[in-house]
Amino acid sequence: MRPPDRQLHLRPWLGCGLVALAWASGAPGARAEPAATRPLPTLAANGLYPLWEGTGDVHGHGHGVVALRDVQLGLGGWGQLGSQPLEFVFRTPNAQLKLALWRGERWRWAMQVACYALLPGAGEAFFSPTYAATLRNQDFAVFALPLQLATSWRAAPWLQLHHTLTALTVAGQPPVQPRLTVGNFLTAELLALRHHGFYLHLGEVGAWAHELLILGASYRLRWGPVEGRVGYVYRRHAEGWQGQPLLDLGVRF
Amino acid sequence: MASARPHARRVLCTLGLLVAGCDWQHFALVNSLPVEGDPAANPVVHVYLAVDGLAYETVAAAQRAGLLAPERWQAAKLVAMFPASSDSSWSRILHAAPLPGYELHYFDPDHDVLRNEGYVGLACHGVPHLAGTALAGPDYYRGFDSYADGYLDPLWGYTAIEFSLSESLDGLFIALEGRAETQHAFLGYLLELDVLGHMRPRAEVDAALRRLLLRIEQFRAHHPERRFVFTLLSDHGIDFVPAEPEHFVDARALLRDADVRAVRSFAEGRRGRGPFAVPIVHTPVSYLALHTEAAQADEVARRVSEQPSVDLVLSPSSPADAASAAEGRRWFSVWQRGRRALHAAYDAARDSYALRRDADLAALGLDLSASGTSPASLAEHLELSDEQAFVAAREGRYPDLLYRLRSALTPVSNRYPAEVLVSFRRPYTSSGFRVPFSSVDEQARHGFHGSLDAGSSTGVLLSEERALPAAVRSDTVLELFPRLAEHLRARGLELQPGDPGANLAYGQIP
Repeated sequence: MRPPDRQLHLRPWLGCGLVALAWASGAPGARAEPAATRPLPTLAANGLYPLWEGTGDVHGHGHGVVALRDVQLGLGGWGQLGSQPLEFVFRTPNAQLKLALWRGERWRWAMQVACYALLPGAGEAFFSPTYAATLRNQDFAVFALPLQLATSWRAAPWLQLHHTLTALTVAGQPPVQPRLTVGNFLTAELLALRHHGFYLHLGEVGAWAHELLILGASYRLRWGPVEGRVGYVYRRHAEGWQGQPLLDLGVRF
Repeated sequence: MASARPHARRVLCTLGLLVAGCDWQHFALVNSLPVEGDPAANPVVHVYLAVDGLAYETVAAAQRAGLLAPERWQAAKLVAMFPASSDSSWSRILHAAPLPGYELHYFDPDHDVLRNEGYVGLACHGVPHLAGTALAGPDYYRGFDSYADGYLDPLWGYTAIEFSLSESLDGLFIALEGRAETQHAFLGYLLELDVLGHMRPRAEVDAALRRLLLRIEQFRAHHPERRFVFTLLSDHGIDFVPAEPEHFVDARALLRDADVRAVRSFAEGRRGRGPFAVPIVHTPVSYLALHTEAAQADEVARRVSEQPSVDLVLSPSSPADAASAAEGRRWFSVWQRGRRALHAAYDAARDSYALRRDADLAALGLDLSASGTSPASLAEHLELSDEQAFVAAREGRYPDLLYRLRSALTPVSNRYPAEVLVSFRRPYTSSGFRVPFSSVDEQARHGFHGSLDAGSSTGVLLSEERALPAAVRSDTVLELFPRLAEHLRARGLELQPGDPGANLAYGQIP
């Protein structure tokens, strides 16, 4: 049996209409809905910072998302295939395979393996040169292979915690040397209202070497099949802080 | 139709945000990717930091304070082009493709029209650059490995300077840390010292340089696996001469007082009587570019030079006499207080200058004894080689005066050079385009650049890489630093030939 949130997604237009109706009739009406029949808040199947951040959730069979940052399709309820389509524009073809390891009432475990191929020129392939990348690879390709073990724990109806352990292998053509880096990422997902999610992100990369610290906050709005996310993250490098927004917009099906 | 317009605007805004979001996603990916190179492959990394508006005097103060070990750091005066304005100057230093004018606001003589005037020109400073579009920014930007830290970086640079400096230093050294894994050379850009020079007392500029030097040493300490060789260079100086409100000169008022009609096009000028000029009014700088017809350039220059706020005015001139005309030299004049202070010609074939003897060269800061020149080379004219002229003006009030004058009128880094260039008598300065209720232009009063005098024109070369002459012409930086030239080429910059007479035989200069 599909969980209640999935039922809403099976009927996106009906869901859209219900959302519009709820909006038009005012939030108190929605709040007055009996808890037993209220659909559970929808969960994120992806992290906002996908190289290091994930969730233990996978899309149901035939479900998925088409978004600025992700295109994903659930397979058989046990896994999902995905890619970040925009990265192709930046000369970085990529793909992810995510497997559901265990799904319980409160705990979900998943493993994801991904591959990013930063083709020559990818390091500086920005629309705007106002962004200075830490990599310029005009003459060589770089490959990043993150292997992630992610778990999601529904601590309360309004709170979900995600933890992701990542082993990232970076290799490439000379002068790049193969390297394995470990990352830990913790995400708190506050499901304040049915269509809104607030997130706090905390990540650490490099284990005892403490190469990178990632801090951030984001907000997610679900409007029927449409989902938008916006956030801001800071990275603490050895040489200082770097802040930037993150944005996503897409449709779930 | 009425409802379609806001809808289209909304769609455009959303698309703009999505494009921005694309860069953000890739930026997050690349800048959190721990790529490691082999230190044996690039054990030495040459780091060039282009520090906008870093004055020689600021570095000299740091030297006096013992912040720069003389056995490691070599400092030289870097004499900028005239007018000493950032975009033009960086274009010339890095031999990038020329800009249309000296500033983003310019006069297009091909179409007889002013471009990027007023608010549009100012807005161009804050508009995010998008590669491959009309918003790509000047060509020299492509030479930098790092020149900004996000779409709003130029905006923060002028409105939240302390925040911007911290952010830029972090961004610069984060980029360097990553790039040093695989690169042999790195060129970064730092805007904020120029903004501080305009908007804050000198002590704050000194403090900013101290921060930069400290960050360099911290970076070195963090990365013992490689040797980093730093070179700092700047596009112009800052004169640290504050201007009070009465010193800001409105270009149109200046022309009116000089009995020169201020017009917006040559067509408009030709409709009236008497000399006319199209003034370029952009940012508060200590020079003013005037476009006019060549035939009246001398007269416009003479009239403007009579104004008390004006120091020197440059114009191209006709030859001094028929014999000189036959020699094919390029003549130019400098006007001061309503009279021709200098009438000189440049001989490209001999790379030398001919100066009329009646010029008061001492008043122009030209010390011929320093250049070892015999004052009897010609009957009518005094002839100076380019090297002699460089030495004669090196320590003077107007460094490298003759080269800067004659090359200011040629399309080296500007496709449309002005016919008349005004150098203000400090503390007077051009008010630039004034924005009502803006505090930026009111705050920008502590220091200026653009004029011919030494404070404005003298930037700095500060290097651990090589020994340096006492003074360097900014057009020759790439000759002294071939690794930088090679790095620019590797970054895809098609290096322009520059002025054919720019080279200096530094080895022969005393």
